[in-house]
Amino acid sequence: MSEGLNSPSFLGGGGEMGALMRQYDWASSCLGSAQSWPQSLRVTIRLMLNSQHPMFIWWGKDLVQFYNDAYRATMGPAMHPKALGAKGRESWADIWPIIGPQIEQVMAGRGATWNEEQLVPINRTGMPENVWWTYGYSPIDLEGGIGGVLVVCNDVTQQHLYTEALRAQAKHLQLQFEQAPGFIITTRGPDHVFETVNAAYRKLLGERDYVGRSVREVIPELADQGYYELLDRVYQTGEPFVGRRMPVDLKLAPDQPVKRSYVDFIYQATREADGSISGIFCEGQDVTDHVLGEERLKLINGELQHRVKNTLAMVQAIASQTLQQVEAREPVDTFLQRLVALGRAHDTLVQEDWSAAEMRKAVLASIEGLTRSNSIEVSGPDVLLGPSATLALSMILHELITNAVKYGALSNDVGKVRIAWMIEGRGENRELVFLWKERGGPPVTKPKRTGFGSKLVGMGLDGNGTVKINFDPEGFSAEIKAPFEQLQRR
Amino acid sequence: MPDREIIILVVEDEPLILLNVLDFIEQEGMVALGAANAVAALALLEKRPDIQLMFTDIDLPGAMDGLALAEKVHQRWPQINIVFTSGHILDRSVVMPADSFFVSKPYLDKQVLRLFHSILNPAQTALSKSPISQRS
Repeated sequence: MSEGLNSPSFLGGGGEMGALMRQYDWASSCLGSAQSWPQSLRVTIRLMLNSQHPMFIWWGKDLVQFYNDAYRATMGPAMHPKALGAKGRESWADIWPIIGPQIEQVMAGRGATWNEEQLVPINRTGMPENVWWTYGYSPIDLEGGIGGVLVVCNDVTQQHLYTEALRAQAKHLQLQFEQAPGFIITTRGPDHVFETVNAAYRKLLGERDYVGRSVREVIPELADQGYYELLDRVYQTGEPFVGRRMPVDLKLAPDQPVKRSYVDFIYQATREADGSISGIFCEGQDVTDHVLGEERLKLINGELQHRVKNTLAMVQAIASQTLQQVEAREPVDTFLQRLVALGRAHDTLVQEDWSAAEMRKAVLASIEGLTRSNSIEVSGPDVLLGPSATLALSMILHELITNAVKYGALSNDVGKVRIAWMIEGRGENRELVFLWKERGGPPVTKPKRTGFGSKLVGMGLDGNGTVKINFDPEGFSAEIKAPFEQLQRR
Repeated sequence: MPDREIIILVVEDEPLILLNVLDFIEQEGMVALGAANAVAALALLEKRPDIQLMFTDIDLPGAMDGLALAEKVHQRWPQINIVFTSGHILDRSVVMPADSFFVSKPYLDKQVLRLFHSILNPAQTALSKSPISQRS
């Protein structure tokens, strides 16, 4: 029999749950008619029905259940409405191992409970789902004892998931920072106290007690290496410092000898929200292997070039000795001079590490030291030549110069030579045009036969180039063309 | 200038090159002495203080290279002229004694001889511009 319109006033209001409570046939339940319920239960039910907080009551030794609309929102059809007036142990059989002991504790008079962000899976829709709760169980008094338990709870699942995501993100960032290939540190304050240090930094400097101690304390061997002063300056001026291939002498452990490393790095001031400098961020790379590798390569390159030129000198010595009996000295001299020219072409390339030589440098190296070098005018744009083109150019110039000194414009006191080059065409069709023009020498006659020198010039800069030779009586001239891209190959 | 014997010390660890240099110096009518390293060169200098010019490779085997040898020679026998040679390109870090000369390898016999004459008889031979350049 429902309480109906005659229901007691403490069941007033309370929305859907209020209505259900009033319609419920309490008289047939173990609690008896609502009119007969003790005062403490009535007060608590009234409070519950009129609160927007999810609340729930277990009452009596059977733990008979009441709950409000806010709590009802957390329940699915599997629970509601049958949980109202049902017995707690039967309703919550699946999670009784979690909540049972807490309810027993409160019922036994051992005080209230409080749980924050506790995972209590519930079944709203027929499927179990994970819900995080912050909740407390409080005792409801009854005649000097405990009559029931009031549950006030809050579904904090959204908050919990958000916090978890933030925590995961922070952990991920921390991991990235820690595992970054370069070293990263942050310091605070004018004494540069370490805040964070990653694995790459610990690898460079060894395991030390970093965090919370100043740079001067942690790395005493940096004294007199200029790094403290750099940090001080960045902290004072706020201007970043970028270091490239800077040597640094460190001890991986106090009893270890000092080891030289090379680093690329940046020091950058970090600032507070108000713009004032708070510390320094440092990020960089250990480039010791690169620097040492380059030094070794340079050494090997130097040694190799020395070998090449020493070998040329040996060929020179052998030729001099072998050809001593030869009566015709001119071809012998020409040969020996060509060897010297080859050696000089090597010098030009070695100075540019065998990658590419500036055309002007190669030309000037060829005419350097000539008695009449000031009768030679050189002009042309900046062009980089690959090694083989540089060698070809040097050898061609040697032939042209030798010829001019013997028969051409450099054989008298007034002749002039003009060396010029330019780039013609566009894009892939670009061509390098090299000009040699003599004026003011003795009248030119075409030679009767073609020697090695002419053949060498005829091969051009790329081995099969277009070469135009002109024996103009006014002066010898040569025009050599070659595809520009070809000349930059190795 | 009275005619006198010109004695030149050649220090070169490559026997073929040493042989050729000694040969072209002798053909020029001068006396040529050879040494394969700095220690041998110093021993020769002790015996022949009348050496007027030392032509030495910079890259020599052993503890003393051509530069170190030249420094010793310059202190002990300051009257001896020094001409260096090397297959290496000299960078600015290489410091040669004042008044010394440098010839890059490979070199022509004639150029080296012309340089020797210009050093030993500066009045007779105008120091012409050539691939041989003076350094200090």
